[in-house]
Amino acid sequence: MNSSNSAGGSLSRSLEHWSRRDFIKRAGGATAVLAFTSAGLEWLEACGGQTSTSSTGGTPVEGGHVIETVNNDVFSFNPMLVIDFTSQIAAGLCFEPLLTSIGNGDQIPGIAQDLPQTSSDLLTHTFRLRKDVKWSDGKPVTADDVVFTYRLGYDPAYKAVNFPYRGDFERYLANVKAVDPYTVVFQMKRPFAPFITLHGQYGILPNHILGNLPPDQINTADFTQNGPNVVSGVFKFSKWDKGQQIVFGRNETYFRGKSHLDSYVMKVLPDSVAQANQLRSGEVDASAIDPSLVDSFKGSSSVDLVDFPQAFVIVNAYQMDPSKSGSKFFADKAVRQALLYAIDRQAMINSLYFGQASIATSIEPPVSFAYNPNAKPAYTFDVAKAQALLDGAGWKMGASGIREKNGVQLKFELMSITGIHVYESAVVVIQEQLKKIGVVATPRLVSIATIGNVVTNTRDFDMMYIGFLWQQDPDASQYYASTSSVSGGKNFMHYSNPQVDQLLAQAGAISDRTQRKQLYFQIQDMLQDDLPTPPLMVPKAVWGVNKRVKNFNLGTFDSNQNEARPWMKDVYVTDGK
Amino acid sequence: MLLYVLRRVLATIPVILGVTIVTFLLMHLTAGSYVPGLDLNPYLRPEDVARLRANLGLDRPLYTQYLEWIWGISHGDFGRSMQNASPVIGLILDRLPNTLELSGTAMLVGIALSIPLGVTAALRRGTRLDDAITFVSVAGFAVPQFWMALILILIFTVSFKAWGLPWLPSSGTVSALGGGDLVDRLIHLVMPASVLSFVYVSIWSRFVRSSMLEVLAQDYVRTARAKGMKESRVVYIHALRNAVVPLVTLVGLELPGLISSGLVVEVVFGWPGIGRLLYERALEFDYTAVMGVTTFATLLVITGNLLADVMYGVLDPRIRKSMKSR
Amino acid sequence: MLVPGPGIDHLNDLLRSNEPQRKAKTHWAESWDRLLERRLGILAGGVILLFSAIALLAPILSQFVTHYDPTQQDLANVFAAPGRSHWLGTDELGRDTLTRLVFGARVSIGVAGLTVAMALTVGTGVGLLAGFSGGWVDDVLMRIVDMLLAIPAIFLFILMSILLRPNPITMAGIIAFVAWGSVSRLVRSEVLSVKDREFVNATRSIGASDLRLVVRHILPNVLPILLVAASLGVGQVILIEAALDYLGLGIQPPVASWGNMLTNSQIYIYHSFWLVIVPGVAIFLTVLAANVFGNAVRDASDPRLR
Repeated sequence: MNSSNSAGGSLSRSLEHWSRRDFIKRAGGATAVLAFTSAGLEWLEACGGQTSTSSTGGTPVEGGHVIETVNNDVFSFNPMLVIDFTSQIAAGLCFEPLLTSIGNGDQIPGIAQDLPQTSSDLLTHTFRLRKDVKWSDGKPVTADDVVFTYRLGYDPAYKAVNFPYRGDFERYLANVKAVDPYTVVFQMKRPFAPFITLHGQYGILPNHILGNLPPDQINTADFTQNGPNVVSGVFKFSKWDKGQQIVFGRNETYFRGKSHLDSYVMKVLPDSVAQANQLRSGEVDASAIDPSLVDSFKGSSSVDLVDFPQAFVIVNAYQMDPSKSGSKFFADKAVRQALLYAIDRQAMINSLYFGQASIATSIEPPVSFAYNPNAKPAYTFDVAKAQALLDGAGWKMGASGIREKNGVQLKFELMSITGIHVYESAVVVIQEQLKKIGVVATPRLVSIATIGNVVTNTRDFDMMYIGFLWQQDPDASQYYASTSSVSGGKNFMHYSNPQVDQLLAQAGAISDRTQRKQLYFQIQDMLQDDLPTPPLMVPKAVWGVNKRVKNFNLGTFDSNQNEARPWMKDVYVTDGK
Repeated sequence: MLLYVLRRVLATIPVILGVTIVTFLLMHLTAGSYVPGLDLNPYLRPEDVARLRANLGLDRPLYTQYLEWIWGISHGDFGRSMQNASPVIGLILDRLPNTLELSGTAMLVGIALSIPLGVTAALRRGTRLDDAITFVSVAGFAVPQFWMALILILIFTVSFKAWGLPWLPSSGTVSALGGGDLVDRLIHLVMPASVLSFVYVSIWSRFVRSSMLEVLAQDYVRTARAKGMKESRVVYIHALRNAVVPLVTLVGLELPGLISSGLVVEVVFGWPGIGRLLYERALEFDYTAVMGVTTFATLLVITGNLLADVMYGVLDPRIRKSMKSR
Repeated sequence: MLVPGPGIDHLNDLLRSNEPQRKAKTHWAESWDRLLERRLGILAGGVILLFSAIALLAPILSQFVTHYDPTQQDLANVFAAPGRSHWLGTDELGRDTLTRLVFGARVSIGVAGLTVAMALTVGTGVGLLAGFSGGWVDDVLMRIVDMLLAIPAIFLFILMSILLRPNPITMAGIIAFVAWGSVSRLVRSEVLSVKDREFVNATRSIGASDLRLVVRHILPNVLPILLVAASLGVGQVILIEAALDYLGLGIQPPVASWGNMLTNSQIYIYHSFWLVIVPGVAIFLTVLAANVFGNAVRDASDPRLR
């Protein structure tokens, strides 16, 4: 599924970026996918994301290739089936969507001429398609292709297709119809402003190739499983050395213009050490790098360091469900706050991220338009205050150096993801820091799949150290609305605050950005005070890009989204090789 | 004779069944929590999760899933990956040649090096050369493979490139662009096969040494010498030939393990082989793929052992007799 | 070998069944003498003992020699080069490398020792049982062993590590679970070859018990093999544990093992290479010593050589 739709920016996607080989890649964290709530045209506005690129400009040289590392092999080229980041890139390079995004969060038209016209009752979205987009076999991309693609998601005939968000489609989408060869109308069942933003960015598949395939063969269609031989995107699929690399070639008929590059390679290297070594040796041209390597690449004669902020916040999540044993510690706000005062976040940033991060002052990332830079209270590193708060809450220091209250020790498990070095180190650091104030937080490292299960189903945890990846929209209902704490929902902390619920609903129902911003400011203040998930750090994304590569325009939201990367056609290499 | 073979084949059936049950249960103990795509996406609603799990057949009772799977295996259908419904046998066959290429080459290098090393050590028994050879072969076996790999990459890839020397690629079987020919493949093979061969060289060279020593002490060698035969003829023609024969047995015993012995090397060097396939799928809880690969590898091991047993039975009646007692 | 890697075990099965029986006691004493002659072997044995001692004494060493706790962090002093306050420098959290190395010895050698002990105990027990009982007991047990040995060991390690949370004890259990199989085969074939002997039947007919048979005839022949297997096995297990750490499946931080120290420090090789060298050398020396010692014992106890 195309990332953009927040869905993409989901915990899943970013989580699956990881292999056991620890690394901080594009996101390196769980994401809090937020519902897009802005209606209509709001999301057009830049939301503050930044782009940081390898040097731009200069005279493009034709020809050559760029090799980028990815963390896993592509699973499928079908945009309607894929959730993992790598597959989404591959699908996006081959199949152009209706709309796409660029690094700073701006959304731009793809095969649609423009953003859709939406009826005032929010029940109809009309797209006019460009007439100059062609498939690489010469046939034009038309409304039939769009209709076919979306039918895979909602049409009962295609129920066997493993489209992950059928639930949303069935709830909101009535149908998608072609009014004429270049006009598509989305008819909604009920108004849902974020729908187009969430679901308007799937790569469009060719009806003339897949349209007649029996529905139960869509999942395994050779066309999308082994590399499509007809594309509409910037690159054509060239060859696939399974498990190793996927090679793309230039699509001569790409509607935005031919790419300068002859070919483009996605090389599968899940290991951050291998990625760094290959950047050094020049075997790859672009790769995310572990912050610990930043210093060793400074002053490199072949590799440029590129960094940009991420819409990604690392938090501690507290168990607040009264039926779970962990909540006996965290039901009390004083404890939740105290534990944040006791953590020296700057020291963590210096040692774990080598300075490539900033202290998080709110659960929203700084790049969000709704980010409240002065969310109160502001938590400084204040051990004395932490101790005072705990004392005041009745947790007195016991003889063994552990705080106690009514015979219960302040002792719990701090859960996080194994295999990710910074996370493993972070929980150990937190353990040490909390030990100093008489709190015992024992690290418990589990696999991503287990974390997924804990978050979605069992909620068997005390405190969790995890990251939230955000999309352009600041909506936080999925994580903080009390309705989201049902099984399957993502309010795994079981946080419940009726005022926050109300504000979230309000902010979700309007489209005026200024108004929403005000509401989100209030929400952030409340969440800072209640502190169900104390925000810790906002790591930067750091990439190494070979100096010969120009216009490699990765950006904040781009790195989380697997967009069709409209800037890809402008990338060139100075040596033309 | 036929009865013997038949008995051996029949004896493997419970083993195969046992293995499949063990693997199935092992993965299922973890797969209960499997959510397709490891999805923590809040837009993946509970009904979506349920639907996707049902599509994968995860909601049926365990024994049904097992029986269906076993039925598939007996027809060569090793199931479909849970991530993209790709046939597991396809995944395996894509990567099997790569593993055979790597492990096979490592074995060949192992043989090629251990014979001269072992013979030299035997001929120079007790001297410092002997000790040196022993030390080197034993030392090679004492270094963690991934560490050796890292050092080699730092030298032969990163440093050589920096120094302008011809350098070796640090991952993959072929270059992405413009490669694919034999030379390209060989260049990619050098480092991984070297690292993997260390284990073989270490063990086999010592074995050749002791085997050679044993042969050299035999009566017929003394006789040949006494008859005035040239020493080099004695050693290299007669003794060597007999000393090497048991090595063949050893190598043969290693063959079944060929599939999995290179797993760490495959992971370090990004070599798309069976071992790496299993490792990556296991981490992603793609348990149909894991079960398929494990069963496949196990079947190979069992078949290999079976063939070896039968061959020994054919070659040596004494062994057949002692085998009967199993 | 302990772990079904190189198939010496299988070969041994075949060879043993053809070997002439040796006189137990004097052979044992003779082997011991020969072992003592090989200085390298003794040296290796000494190294193992030394490292094991260090491992056992880890808490004392950390208190009185290095004055650091293995988990003691010092975020202001990360990646310190080896120097006076930290003889082997510090790691990414400012923890003293030497102290962690010493505690890592505890884990690595401890896991290896425990694994070997478990595998040898279970393997010997099962081997004796199978060998003596014969019949369906033997068949069933050997089928189970076949099953265990048919699944590629590293696959099993991976699967089980994902399933169980690997702490040092479960890690030892996992590896031992795979290793006991080949030990039992070794022991069993020894039992079988003894059972075949004429004099055994004679001894039995005059009422000698099975226990006597085991003690006087089987164990003395099996012991050297077991000792070799133990020694080589210790080395192998340390390497396996390190490999599992590399794959992210071994001992989890913050518990230090040589393997995970080595794995976690790879990324820092460009600026703090000693963090990579130190645990690597520790592993190398220990495994080397284990191998040399094991080989020495094998050479000393094998009458066919020298």
